[in-house]
Amino acid sequence: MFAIERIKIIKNYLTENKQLEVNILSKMLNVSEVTIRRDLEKLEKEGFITRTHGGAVLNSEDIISNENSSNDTTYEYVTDSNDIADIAIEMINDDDVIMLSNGIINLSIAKKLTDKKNLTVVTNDILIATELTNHQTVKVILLGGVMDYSTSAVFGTLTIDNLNLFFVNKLFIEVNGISNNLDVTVSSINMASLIQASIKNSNERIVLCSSEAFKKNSFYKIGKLAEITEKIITSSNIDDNLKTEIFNNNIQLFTSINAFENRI
Amino acid sequence: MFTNYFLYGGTGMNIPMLSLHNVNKYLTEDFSLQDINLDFYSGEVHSIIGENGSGKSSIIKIISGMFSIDYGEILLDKTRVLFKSISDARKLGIYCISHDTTLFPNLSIYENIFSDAIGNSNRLFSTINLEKLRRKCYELFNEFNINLNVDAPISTLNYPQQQLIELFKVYVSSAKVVILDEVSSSFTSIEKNILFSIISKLKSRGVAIIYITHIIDEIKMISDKLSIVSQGKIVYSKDISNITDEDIITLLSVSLHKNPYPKLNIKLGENVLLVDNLQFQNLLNNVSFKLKKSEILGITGLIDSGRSILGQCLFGNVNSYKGKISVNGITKKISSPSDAIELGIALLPDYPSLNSLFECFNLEKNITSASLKRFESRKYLHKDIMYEVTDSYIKKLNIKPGNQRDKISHYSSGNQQKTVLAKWMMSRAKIYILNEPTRGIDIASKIDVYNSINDLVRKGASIILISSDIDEILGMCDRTLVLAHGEIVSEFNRNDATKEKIISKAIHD
Repeated sequence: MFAIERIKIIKNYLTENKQLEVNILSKMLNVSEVTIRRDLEKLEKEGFITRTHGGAVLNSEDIISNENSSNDTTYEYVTDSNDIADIAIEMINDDDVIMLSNGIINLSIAKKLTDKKNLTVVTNDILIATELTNHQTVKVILLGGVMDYSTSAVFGTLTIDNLNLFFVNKLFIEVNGISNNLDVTVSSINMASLIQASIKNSNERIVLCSSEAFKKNSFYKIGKLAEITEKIITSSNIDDNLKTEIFNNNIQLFTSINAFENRI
Repeated sequence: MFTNYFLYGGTGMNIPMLSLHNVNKYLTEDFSLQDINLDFYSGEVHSIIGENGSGKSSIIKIISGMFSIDYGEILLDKTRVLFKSISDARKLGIYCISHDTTLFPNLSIYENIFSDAIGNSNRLFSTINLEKLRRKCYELFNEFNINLNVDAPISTLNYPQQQLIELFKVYVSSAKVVILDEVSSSFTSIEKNILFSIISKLKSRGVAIIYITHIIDEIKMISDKLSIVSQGKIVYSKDISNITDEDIITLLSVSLHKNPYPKLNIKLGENVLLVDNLQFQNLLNNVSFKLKKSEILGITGLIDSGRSILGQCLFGNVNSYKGKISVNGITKKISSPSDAIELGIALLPDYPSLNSLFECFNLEKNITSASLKRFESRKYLHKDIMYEVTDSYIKKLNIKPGNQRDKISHYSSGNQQKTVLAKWMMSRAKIYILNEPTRGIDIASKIDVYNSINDLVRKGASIILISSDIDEILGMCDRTLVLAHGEIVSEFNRNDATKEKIISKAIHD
């Protein structure tokens, strides 16, 4: 269960019951008491509660409910990318040479590469390269090119020339749009040509996108999903018809179901 | 004595009872039935096999009046026919039995068997002699050695028994053509014997039987002709006497290799389950295997190979077994499901609606039914927390429509299956025995089930996947055991397993 869900539950619980005991909540939400205490600290900082010995009590009513749901969606988007990255990580082995195209899901993947040994990462995304400076066990190849400020990544013929020097065994392509007929699109012509070039220089391709990508089409087409990849990772709440269509196209559809609480 | 009540199919052997001539049907952008030519003769069993999605069920739907055709013709008794509905086809003597039963759950067995006769009586106010029907039904059961109370309501029967009642309903009808669509898949050998004797009596009466199955030894046993459907076409049609087992195996395995299964290669951990020399009646013999942490172990075999009873055994659903079962190093006799649950074992049985859901309860009660202890505090349940946690599972597993107050019996089989899965996940089970988790459910739910399996193994749970769908076994499992006659006859690692090898082991040994 996500922290955000847990905090919502704790808030609702407190609004109903006015007070809570840490041990009861830890059992019901299946997390350690330490985790609950941490959540309570957070809520105390927000002025929602006052912590007591072994629990917490609700502050007076007027302070509550100014928490609106507007930041829920951005949070959902981030947890979504995070869950998709969790699946992608399972596809990366020690000694792999991978490419991460620019994007927020690929950035989440970069954050999780800590345990991998002898990994080489090729990327055009400056944020990904910066992130990877934190764990020096990974060899990073940052492609050169013309900087695009909206994505913090480099594109253009320079980048493609650079890219053609390498061959990767796994290419993680983050895309912006997938139509009902499974046409894959991205938001700029530069990104489209970079991805087309990288496809030629890869052994296996994995397409990544959020569920939002299925609701919109971007302008620049890369190709049919089935021609690009055998694997796609996205969130589990995409439309049933799309799931069926992807399966019938003989493509492995991984979804970011993250239901089982904690690990065993 | 019963034959008096039946009409005889009158056609001779050389003119087909029912023929499809150049039948074409557009279904979707990528799929259509093309130039289907099939002849079904009086007194013959004609088996049709094919992959899921090959078009065999569309052919059945055309014959039984559910689909219209775009082009071509259907001849019944040399007369061109056009069905606008199932009842059109039925009036002309075409009956179909499939997965879904069409019985009245609150009526008795005999009333159901004769429901067509009752419903179709010609005169408006003709009296129905129920006592006579009851007696007929009783005699019918005697004839086939069936030990069921004719007065019992249908709702008290289990799924295979209900399927049998459907068979008898057809048996007492004046059917000319009978379609049996995978009816035997839930049958044990006892019910199968009844099925086969019904089939042979129907044959002798001159009925043309269309038999859909994927069980190869059945095909050899009962059919006169075999046709294979692939990608909307009939690719093979022959008399059974000219076909060998090897032919069938090659025919089944040459079909397109498909692998749309989302398989993650998770690093396996220590052994979590050890089964040593398991024995149960004459159904399981000397079964020994290990299951590792994060492993997906496939178990396949023919219907009476013991694959389902093995699951029942590990979940404590059988009276007593011999042999040793240890979980995480602890050896314990599992004599009831609660023993199994305590050890962290969960079972998702085939036909969840009959075997593991509380039909009369709502979604919330079903999902939380194995986790009540978790939400208990001072003898009360914390309803609000239970509600939120349940909601989180419903959303993540895409259980639809997903209102906690919804009655579970109104849910589709895919959503029921996901509900059972959510129930066990919430209870923190560690070893999941999934028996045919995706049979008969829609593709979108299938994908949700596969990805839930991934979620579980990623987090350290282990899976035993019992399935008759060999593509699924090949697609999802790290290792596969093949069972035959209650014994493990073969074991394949993911990289060595092929469809051909598995089928040949399952039917030969």
